[in-house]
Amino acid sequence: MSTFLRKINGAGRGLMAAILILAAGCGGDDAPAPDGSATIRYARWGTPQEIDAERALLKQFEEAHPGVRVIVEFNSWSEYWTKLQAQFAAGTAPDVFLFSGTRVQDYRQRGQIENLAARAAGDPTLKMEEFYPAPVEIFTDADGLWAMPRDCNAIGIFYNKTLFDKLGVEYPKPDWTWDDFLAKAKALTRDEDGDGRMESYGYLAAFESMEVHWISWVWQAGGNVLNEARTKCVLDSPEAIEGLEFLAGLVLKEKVSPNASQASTFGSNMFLTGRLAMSSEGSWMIKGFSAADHFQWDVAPLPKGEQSVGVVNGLGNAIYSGSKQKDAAWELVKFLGSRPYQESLARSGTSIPALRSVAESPIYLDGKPEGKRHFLSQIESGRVPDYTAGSTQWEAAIRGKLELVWMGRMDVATAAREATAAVDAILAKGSANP
Amino acid sequence: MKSSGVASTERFWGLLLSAPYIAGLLVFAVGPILFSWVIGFFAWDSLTPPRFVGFGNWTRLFGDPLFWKALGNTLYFVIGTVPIGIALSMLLAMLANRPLRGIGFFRTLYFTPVVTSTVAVALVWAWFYDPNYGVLNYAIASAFKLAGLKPPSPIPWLADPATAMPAIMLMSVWKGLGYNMVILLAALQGVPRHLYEAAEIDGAGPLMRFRHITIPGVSPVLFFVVTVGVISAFQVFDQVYIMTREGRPADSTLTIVYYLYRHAFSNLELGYASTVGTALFAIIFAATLVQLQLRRHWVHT
Repeated sequence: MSTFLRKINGAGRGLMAAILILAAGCGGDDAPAPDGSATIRYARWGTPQEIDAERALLKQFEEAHPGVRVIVEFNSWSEYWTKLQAQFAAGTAPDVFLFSGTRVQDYRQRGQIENLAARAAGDPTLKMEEFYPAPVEIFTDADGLWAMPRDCNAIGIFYNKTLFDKLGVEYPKPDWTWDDFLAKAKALTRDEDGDGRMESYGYLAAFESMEVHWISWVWQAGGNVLNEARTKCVLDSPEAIEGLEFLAGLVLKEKVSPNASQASTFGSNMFLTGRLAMSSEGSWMIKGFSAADHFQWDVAPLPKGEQSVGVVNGLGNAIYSGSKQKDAAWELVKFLGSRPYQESLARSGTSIPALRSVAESPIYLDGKPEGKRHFLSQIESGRVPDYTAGSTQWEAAIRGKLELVWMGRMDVATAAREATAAVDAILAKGSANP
Repeated sequence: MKSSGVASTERFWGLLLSAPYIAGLLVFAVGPILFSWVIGFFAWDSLTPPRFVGFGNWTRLFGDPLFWKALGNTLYFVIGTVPIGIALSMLLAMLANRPLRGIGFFRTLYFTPVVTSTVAVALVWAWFYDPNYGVLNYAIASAFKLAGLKPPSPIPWLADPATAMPAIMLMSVWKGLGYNMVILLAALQGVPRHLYEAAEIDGAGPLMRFRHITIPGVSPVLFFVVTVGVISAFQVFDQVYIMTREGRPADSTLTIVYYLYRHAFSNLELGYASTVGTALFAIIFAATLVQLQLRRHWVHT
């Protein structure tokens, strides 16, 4: 063997050894440093437009906590959960992450989320009563507190004022009823040129989202999805069926709502087309709709049924139970619920701050639509959905049955019965026995 | 001694240079496959320790009507896309094989969908199919109007259980055409000219030449295209994920891989999802074995 070859050969072996050493050194320890310095990873979903504002706010946090650095990980809503699940499985979840009530039991019963109850109780700088009750309630159970409140959501009837004016229909009043709602929906459904296709629809009765589309109606009829102990599904009760019957009837009987084939099946929101007079939408849509300049719109509260109740939801920031930086992470989740962050949230118009004083301040309430204030009263008096472990699963099971009703392939009573059986099976499995 | 030293050096370098690929294959393919076969016998949510359930996942799989529905939908997709797709690719390849001016442009054009991400393509096609604003319904309505007929009500392509799967198939065939075309084109160019000339002298018409020269000439490549096409068609997922989320409407577009995905990532049932994956592996393996058996009847070697 020539000296040249021998040299390369040696270099190759050396290179390989270096790679091995590097690889072995990668599993570094990230235990908290004695001087309190820490790097924390914080994950949230959101749009690319939100990144800069978020970074600027986190800069404030970093300045107030010398030595602490925050790395923010942005994902789209659809990727967020899959990625988080994979990170939990790999033990590399971010220290702090945005979380929803839908999945909190799935992960907290599997020991992935830190219980914040003791920290919240022992922190003199924190006054939990300053938050709206909904986002606290949604993350609280018998065992503790699983996330710090960040924002609230409510559902309202967004209505197209331009279309109301054109067809001479009076705007909804805050105390309107199901009957008022139906009468307006009928008056707003028009086939102007007589070709059998509606130029405008009164409402879009959809079934995709329990929160946005149907649970409030079931509650207003006196029904519910789960029993009080959240151990059985009660969607087959006469009251719940009545609520669903009313919604499905808007499509199938009254024909004031497009069905799946008449509604645009894809892409943009139908309300934005200007052809839809009323739509159930979440408070987070305000920002997106504010770009619509071809018609005027406002927000009304949900119409009253036998009971007057609307759904409220909230998001919070949770801490990974495997985090090595829990003290710094705790400071961050507190910051995300604190006044500076909450005010910026209010300004962004994407969500309603969880901090009551900020939500009720002009920072949130000023500007269009005027009906924003209805969201706040709903947040005070509204109801939080009963989430359990397996919520996403049973929601999907119900959705599958409601889809058949909306397509006219199954009656409401049968669908409710079959959905109840499916939900009961999922609840019976629980989370301990996945 | 000297020559064996060189051989050992070569062996060392051979191993060193192929090591990254072999390591990648072991770590990212073989390892996970073996792991999923094993974990298919466990109930596992990926967060808490797995629990052995024996053949529990398998009995559940065979007893779940939704699995059979997903399998049926997947077979429908395979049968509906592979033969048509390959026939059309063959046609395109023969057209692209002509010594035409600017043929490079057409070849590039047909290949473009292949290098475009399925997600982007699916988004655009979902717009084509839109009942209210879609170009497809617009074209149908315009055609009726031109013929002086009353246009039919728009077809909700992706919202009707009868049309949703065919709509996805059409898009998939379109997207895959270019890939098979390029491979078949290469095969066509490998068929010796003189065979055609000889056949022509012997009085064989275009159909005869196609049947007796072209087809046998490209048959090994055709076999490759069919086999790979069937394997990838069995794994259809992206289109369903983007265009008809959750296998809608009424599970009419629920495919096996979407069924697997749902159990793994919505329901946290990674053990069961692994069983589904193993079952799909067995199905694809069996389908490929059948094709290998059939090969000797039609592939010219």
